[in-house]
Formats: sequence, C-alpha cells, structure tokens
Amino acid sequence: MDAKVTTSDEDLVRQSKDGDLPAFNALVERYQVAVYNLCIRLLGNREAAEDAAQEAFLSAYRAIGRFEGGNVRSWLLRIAANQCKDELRRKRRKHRASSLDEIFDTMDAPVEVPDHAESPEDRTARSAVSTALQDALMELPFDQRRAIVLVDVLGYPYDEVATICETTPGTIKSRIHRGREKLRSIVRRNPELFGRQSRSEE
Amino acid sequence: MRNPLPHVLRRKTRWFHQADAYVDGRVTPVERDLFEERLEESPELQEHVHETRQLKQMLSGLPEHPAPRSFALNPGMLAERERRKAPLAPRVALQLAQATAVVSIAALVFVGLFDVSSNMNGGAGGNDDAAVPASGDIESANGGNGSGGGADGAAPLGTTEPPGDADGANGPEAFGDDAIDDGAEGSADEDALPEDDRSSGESGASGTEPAGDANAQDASPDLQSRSEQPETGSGSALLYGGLVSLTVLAAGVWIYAKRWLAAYS
Repeated sequence: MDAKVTTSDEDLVRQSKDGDLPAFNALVERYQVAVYNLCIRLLGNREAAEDAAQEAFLSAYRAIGRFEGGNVRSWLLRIAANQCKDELRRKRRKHRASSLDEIFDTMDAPVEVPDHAESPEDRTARSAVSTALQDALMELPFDQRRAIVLVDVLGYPYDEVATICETTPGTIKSRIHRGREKLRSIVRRNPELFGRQSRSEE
Repeated sequence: MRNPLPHVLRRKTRWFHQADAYVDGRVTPVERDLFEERLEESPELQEHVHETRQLKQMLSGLPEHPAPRSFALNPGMLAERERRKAPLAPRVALQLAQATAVVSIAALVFVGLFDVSSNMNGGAGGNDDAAVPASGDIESANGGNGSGGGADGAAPLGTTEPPGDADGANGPEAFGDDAIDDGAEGSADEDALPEDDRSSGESGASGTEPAGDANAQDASPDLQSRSEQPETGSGSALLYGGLVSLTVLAAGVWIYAKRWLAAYS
C-alpha cells in the first residue's frame, strides 16, 4: 500500500522487471485512467476500449524487461495506441469493413454517458455535441486522430506526443494541422449542432 | 456568440499554417508579434484563428472518463495470455516459408545471371580466359551473399525494438519483418549451388572455344560440352521451373502461416 503512494515510477519499473506483479499493478493504477481515455477516444467504443486497455497493460508487463527508462506514461500510452491500431486492423480484417463506422457498433457501447447532475436540457445538449465530436474524430485517419486526441483532448505537449507516436514534433504538427482542417469541415456541415454548444458556453 | 461560419475559400498561406502553432502557444515572441500584426490586417485569418480556438475548446471539453474497473493484472490473466499465444507450428512455418522464398528468389536471380554470362562468354567465341570471368562472377556472387544466421525463432517474438510495441498484437508482424531481414542474409544452401553451376559453367564456356582453338586436348571437352549444351538448356529450364515452383509454394505457405498467426493475435 505504501509503495503506491511513495514509490517513484523508476522504482516501480525496477521492481516490475524483477517480477514484482504488485509493483507493476501500482503503475497500472497510476496510469489506467490516461490509458483508458486514450483508448476510448481512439476506438469510439467503451467495450473495445476496455479490452484494448487491458491488453495494453498485459503487453506492457511482458515488455517491461525491455523498457530502457524515460517517461513511463509515454511508454504506456504508446503501447495502448499501438494496441488500438492493431485492434482496428484486426476488426477491419475480420469484418472486411471499408469504414470505421462498420467496425464497432457504437450504438451498443456509446462513448458519451450523460452526467445526471446536469439539467436535462444541458445534459442532452452536451451529450449530443460530445457524441457528434467523437463521431467526427472517428472520421479522421488513425494517425491524425491519435495526434488530435493526445494534444487537444488529453492535453499532452507536442514533444511527449511525438515520443508516444514514435515520430518527430514536426510530423505531429502536420498531423494536427490536417486533422483540425478536416474537423473544421465536419463542424461546418453541422453548424446548428456545434453552434448550440458555443451558445450555451457563452 | 459566433456560430461556425459556412465554408469560405481560403488561400493556404503560411499564416494559416502558423495559426495552429499560435493557438497552441508554440510560437516565439518574435513570431507571435509578427503573426498578430498580420492578424490585425486579415479578417480571414482572424476567423480562422477563432474557429481553431473554438474547435480546440470543444475538444478539450470532451469529458474524461473514469476507469470502469481496475485493470490490474493477476496471475490468472497472465496464464490465459500465455495460453492464447500462438502455437509453435505457424511461427516455424512462417519462418521456413520466408527463408525458402528469399533463398529461391536469390537462387533464381543467381542462376539467371550465370546463364546470361555463360551465353555471353560462349557467344564471344573466347579463349580460356573466358572461363575466368565466369568463375570470378561466381566467386563474387558467393562473396556477396552473407552467411548471416537464420532468424532467431524465439527472440523476435516480442522483442521488436520500440518498447512501446504491443507484444502479443504486433508480435507476428514484427516477427515476420525480423525474419525477412535475417533470411535475406542467406544460408548455406547458396554455397552449394554455385559449385554445381561452376562446373557446368566452365564446361559451357570452354564449349564455345572450338572455333579458334585446334588443340586436340581442347577438342574432346568441346565436343563434350557441345553435346551437353542441349542438356544444359533443358537442365536450366528445369532448374528455373523448380525454383519458380518453390517460390510460389513458399509464398503460399507464407500467406497461410500469417493468417494462422493472425487468428491468435
């Protein structure tokens, strides 16, 4: 218990490399929200995101021996993103789907769950906008979506995002630009929907 | 309050590209000043910056989801994961298929080159020296083929370079890539092939000599090689056919093994 509170990432990694499963689980507890949220934004489906996050941690445990130091969070997010990419590829292969919408039935496990503390009107408005925005994200190519989610949704700096995506900050900047251009065109197709969000905020 | 504007034609200038960096706060003070000067002059750019800020605000406003459960691992999960690991057979089949395909393609190329050089030496009606370049070609071809070890069966699985690779998911494909690289380094079989070809090549080269050489000692090898030429020709065709068939078979096994492995990933 004390280890969870006081032990640094480096110490937990070192203990995990020695086969200490509780130490690794301390890392899991520390970063599972970040990993899960990345998965859910990349896959657009809660159930798939749960599976992907669990598989990511399993893969990370197997690969902990090869971790050579650095930012543990970036390393875990990189594994999770790769897991999501593989999951999409596997589903596409299995279902021979031509669009991402066909891969996951988003109606079964929608990403956005209304916050019951809000008024019904606000709840409906926020849920509709969030759902529409998530759907817009799913229209982006995977690399652009990953960059947009990491930078704009989750708020990570460009340098860390470049490490997670195994590329350069310049490439991330380019993907962000193209992703935002595409999202802008999608937003323009639904001005009423996104306009309602802006009106409620102002 | 502004609604998102309908689509407006915009020129793709560097200012619009820089708008992302400006909104993200990733510009130097000098760049910021220059950009803000431009911003004051261009209503289009102002609208673009506004839209970018609005979009970024919407995206950052997407709710953070709490973890639905703990993703902590337990020994049962790890055991299950091991059980789900692909069996040895498809991995071995994939390795063998890749190595076979690479070797047979390399052999095809080598045999083709040797055949061409033999024909060229024979067509020139050369002297004994014609045999030397052929041998030299063979030796240089041998030297060009490395003697690297075969793919390490156990190690590549899960040991691909980036630590971020999802081990089980990326394993087969990365494994395949490693095996391709290792297979390209060649094997011992390539060493055996040139010796056989060398002997046939030398006889083939000397077989084109008789036009300029009246030496009795050379006559009988010439006669022998002349009589061997048709057999050599059909032998080459057989060899080509065999290598092509082997390549096609290896490709088929390769595809099947990959699909078999994919079922476990």
